[in-house]
Amino acid sequence: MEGENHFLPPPLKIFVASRKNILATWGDVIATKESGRLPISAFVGKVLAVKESGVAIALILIILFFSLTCKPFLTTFNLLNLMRQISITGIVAIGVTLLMVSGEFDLSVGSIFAVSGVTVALLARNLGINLWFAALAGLSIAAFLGLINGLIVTVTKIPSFLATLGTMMAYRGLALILSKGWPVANLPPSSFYLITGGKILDIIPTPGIWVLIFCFIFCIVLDHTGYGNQAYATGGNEEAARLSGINTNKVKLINFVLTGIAAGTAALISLGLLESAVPVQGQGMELEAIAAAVIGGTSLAGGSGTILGTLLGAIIMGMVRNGLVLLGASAYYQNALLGMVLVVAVIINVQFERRR
Amino acid sequence: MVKRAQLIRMKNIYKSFGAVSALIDVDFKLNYNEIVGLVGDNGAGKTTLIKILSGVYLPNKGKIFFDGKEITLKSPMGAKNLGIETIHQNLALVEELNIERNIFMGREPISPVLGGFIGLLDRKRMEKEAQGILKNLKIPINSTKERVKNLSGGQRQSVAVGRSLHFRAKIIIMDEPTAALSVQETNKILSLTKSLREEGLSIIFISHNLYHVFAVADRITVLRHNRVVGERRTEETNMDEITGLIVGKKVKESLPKV
Repeated sequence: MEGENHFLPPPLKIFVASRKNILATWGDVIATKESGRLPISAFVGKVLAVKESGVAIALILIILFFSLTCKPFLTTFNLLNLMRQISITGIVAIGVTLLMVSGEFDLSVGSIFAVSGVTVALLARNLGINLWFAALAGLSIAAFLGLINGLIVTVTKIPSFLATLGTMMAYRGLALILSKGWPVANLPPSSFYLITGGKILDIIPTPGIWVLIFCFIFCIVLDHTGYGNQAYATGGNEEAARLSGINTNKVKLINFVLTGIAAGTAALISLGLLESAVPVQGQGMELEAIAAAVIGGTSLAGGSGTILGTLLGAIIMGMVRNGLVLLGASAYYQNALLGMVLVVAVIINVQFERRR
Repeated sequence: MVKRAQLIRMKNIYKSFGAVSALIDVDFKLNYNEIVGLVGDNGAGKTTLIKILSGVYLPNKGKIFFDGKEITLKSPMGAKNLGIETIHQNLALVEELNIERNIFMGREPISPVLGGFIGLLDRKRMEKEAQGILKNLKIPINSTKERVKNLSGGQRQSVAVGRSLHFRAKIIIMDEPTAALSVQETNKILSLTKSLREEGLSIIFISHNLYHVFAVADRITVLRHNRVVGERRTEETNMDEITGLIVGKKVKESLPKV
């Protein structure tokens, strides 16, 4: 197993090494099976030890269900489509996960998504600014709105749930003010659309690539940096973290800014796909993002959760919607079933947690 | 013989929280190679005093001297940098995280990647050093990847002690270290405390349990109603006298002699 890692670039090597225990557990299973003994409890114990096991099992079950009940589900075309569909919510969910791990919430992500998108579109259309520079401005505004969220929470100590409930409404108002309530379309042509919302080699949707890159980066930050450890500590037991010398306010501030940037990035992808932005976009996105994180095993109390789990959670949500559409089910079924999926996922995650 | 400066000298310390006074004109000293027992009833100010030494609180008035030099402790990390490690009453451990991550919380070892531009968590070092810590203290825990929430009270205490030792503590402050422990675990902690003094450390030992204090301390400082009401060498006093100082009146009945 060791030798296989050497040709990978260092960051990838570290990523693979951390998941090595998954490979190791399978190796153990095969070894014990060959020797004739397979104690089921030891096997179950090893599976449980992998943090994403709950959501991974749920994902496998869902894939099985849909691939058996409707033929077009497991096709390359459909799966690539799926990656594009979940990319926007997925990126936001990944940002929100890091914040939730450190113990805070951001309900304003949908509104930041709208302000960013509208700002970029307006700068490009009304002021003729190059779309790439406009995009940079959009990301900066998103980071700034996240910073405001963070400052409100760390300075006034208002619970983030309430603070961002307020900013959610304020930022939504800002999006409407900037755009005067109108959609912003008829944007100038640019390479931007292809890179953020186009296709590579005519098949692979770039949004899918962006969400994977985002997942990779945030995975490294949360799992493999000192900062990630401090984020877990801040969310797990803030007083303990502070007594250990961690600047918990700084950690929270940074995470709020990163969440804002995630919402801004999602806005750029959306702009690339639709070549337009509307001030009412992203309504309800905050709950979708939190749902994906929770399905993926993130705790609402803070201190636990993984980026990979959230990505799988976002994929599950996308698959359920996608599968139901392919089955021809009425659109009303989607939310009903997604709600059930969420509750069942939480129950499974809690059960796995108890046995860990 | 050269007279060594005191390791810690706190002079005229005042601390209040709004209208509530926690410490009034408190003098406290800690010598090299000494265990001082800090005792007093609930609300007397013991935890506030050691939180000032741990860098958690800033005193409203007063000076602190470390090895003869005046210092200001601005943050928990500032205190740790001086070698003042604290084992708080609630242990300051994050239950969801494993032993390694708890030990290195706030002081994570980094290995530079991509030419030093990015610093990644040095997990191998964390694992190796954490295992070393457990072995040195002879703590019977199988894996440093075990989560703290699955550990017993004594095991958690040992992890907290191990953490302090690992970072080159000169002073270890123990706030109610035996409160939640079994008899066997208590004996381990008490003998560990004494062996730490043999190794050259100084210890501030806070406890409600005078038996434990008398078992380890060289000197005892008593707080009552936010002031220091007495300081005695352990060998020159007894539990009755200390109890009397804690509650403020002479204790008529003797506690059963150990």
